[in-house]
Amino acid sequence: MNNVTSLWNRRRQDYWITAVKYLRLIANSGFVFTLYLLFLFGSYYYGRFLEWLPASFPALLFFTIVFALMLTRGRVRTFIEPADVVFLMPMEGKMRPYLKRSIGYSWGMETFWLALVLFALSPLYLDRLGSGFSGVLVILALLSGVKLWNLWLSFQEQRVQEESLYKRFTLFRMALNIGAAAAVFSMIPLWMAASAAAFSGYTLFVRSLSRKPLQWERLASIEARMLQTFYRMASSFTDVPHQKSVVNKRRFWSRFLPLLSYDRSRTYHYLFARSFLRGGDYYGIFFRLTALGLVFLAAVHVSWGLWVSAGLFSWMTAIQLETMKRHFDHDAIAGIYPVPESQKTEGMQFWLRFLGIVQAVLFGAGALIQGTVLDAVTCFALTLAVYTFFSSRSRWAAGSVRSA
Amino acid sequence: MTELLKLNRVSGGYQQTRPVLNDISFSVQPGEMVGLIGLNGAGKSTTIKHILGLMSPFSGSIELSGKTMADPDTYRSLLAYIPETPVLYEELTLWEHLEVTAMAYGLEKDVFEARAEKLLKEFRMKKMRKWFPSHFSKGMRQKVMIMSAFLLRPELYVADEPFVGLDPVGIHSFLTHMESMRESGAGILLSTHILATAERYCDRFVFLHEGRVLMQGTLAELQREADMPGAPLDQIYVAVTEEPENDE
Repeated sequence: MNNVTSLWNRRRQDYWITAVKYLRLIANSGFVFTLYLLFLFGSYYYGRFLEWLPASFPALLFFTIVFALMLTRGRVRTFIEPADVVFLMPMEGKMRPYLKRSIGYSWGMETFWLALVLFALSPLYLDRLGSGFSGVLVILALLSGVKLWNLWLSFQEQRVQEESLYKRFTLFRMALNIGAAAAVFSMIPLWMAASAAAFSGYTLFVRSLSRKPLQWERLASIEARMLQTFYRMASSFTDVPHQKSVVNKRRFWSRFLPLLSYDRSRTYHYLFARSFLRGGDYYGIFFRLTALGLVFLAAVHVSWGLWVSAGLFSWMTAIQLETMKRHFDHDAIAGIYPVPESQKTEGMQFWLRFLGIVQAVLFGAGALIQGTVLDAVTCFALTLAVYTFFSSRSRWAAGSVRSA
Repeated sequence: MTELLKLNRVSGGYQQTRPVLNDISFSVQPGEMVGLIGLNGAGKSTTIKHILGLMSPFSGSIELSGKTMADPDTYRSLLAYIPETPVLYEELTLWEHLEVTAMAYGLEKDVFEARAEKLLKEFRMKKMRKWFPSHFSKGMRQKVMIMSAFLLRPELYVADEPFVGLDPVGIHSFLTHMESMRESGAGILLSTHILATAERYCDRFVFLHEGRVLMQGTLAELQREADMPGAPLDQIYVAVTEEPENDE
């Protein structure tokens, strides 16, 4: 009995030791300062934003949707590892204290996130729906309670083997949570009672599942995914060695891949196109930073602000895309291809320039929203200049180590 | 007969002071399947890395159809490699693996497509052409490597323990393919420790032990040399590798 508890404690501790190391690196990387700046600007614009927001804004609907999502998302963090399928499975019957702790721990973490979002949105709440700050605390308490309920339910749901049924449960819970969130934010007693009744009914049903065995592989993959989310976040600030990247199929963009001609000299063009779209997080980085850049370009009024935004965001994008050049360096198969090493550089430069042109066009167009044609041309040229710099810099001694 | 692959007194390894391979010489003729036999750690994989040009020898020379690694692209386009642990690009589909291999080795597009379709059918992977490796079993991964190699029809195949993880149909397709490649004049270097299969298919054997060539030749030659007439390959191998212990 006791050793399951100590196993859980050790795993949680191990995780936090690693996590704190990364958090410290993130804190030292200037992130905290950025956050502080964001906070300063944010609080100024927030007030202006609330003034600007029309009275007809459906605040209740907005809160309902945001928190219904917050309540539905998130799974129980079990710290289950793939090897547990072999080593812990025989003790499934004795795992109760372990799982209880997992649910408790996840409840604490999820309540933290709920509080964070709720406090960030509290000015809007107080402005539109409000009943004083104590009201916010009551809401937090209620939401946290519903969250615990959700975590327990979602843990029992995972015992269902059929993937489609498991997904439908989540959707159904989402529907319940929409009701619950609407009840909490409207504070209408009748809604609350109805929502509680609905939850209780579902709980009775889900209880029948709790006699089914655990789905160990699913638990391990949920855990891996949660861990991955953390590492992915950390990897935007620092190198994360054991990041196993998730491959996204990107069906939509994959349709355009055959446009690239079939030619021996394009072997690395071929490979890099796929690593950009599907591997690592290059695609995500490019789209997030481009979108964020466009938001800035749409918001800033002064010319120099537009130029700085275009320059800064293209720089941030290019510097992260540049890491893609190492993507195939440690690949034994690519290492023995009978193509010259210089092709790797060419392939990389091709895509860097291509993406640079795409971003430059978008940033140029974005600058037109607030600025003049001259501003647009400047933003376009600046972005291109940044990418040209990075692509000429990438005449690195590519993979001079032909390692196995 | 001209040699396809020729290792001439090759010594090599990761550290000059502690070579893993000592004075290794053997050859593979066109139309011949040679079994590279040895225990784990005998130096099989290191030998293969030298042949692929992933490592260069401290002394001695390796020639493939008269070419050396001085011209890496020409040298490497003459051989195809099937690694022991399948290495796939996680972000490429099965079909894309074949396509990029064909591209890198300069195959014409229509030739590639015809061969790839045939291979997919033969290895019963037609349904999986758009799958990503994360959905593949170990055996399927190995099949991708094998299909990529057969796609190229090179002069020399280098296969490192290709049977591990393959299902019986996979092993059968692999071996029939190897035999027809051999008939059309390709050389095959097959590293394995599944000796029964090696005995049935290989023309000659190279016994590697602690980084040295212990014996080499056809089964009949090995039997004669070990003075074990009629003995199967595994018995000869066990007998000759035990000898040093008796000396001490």
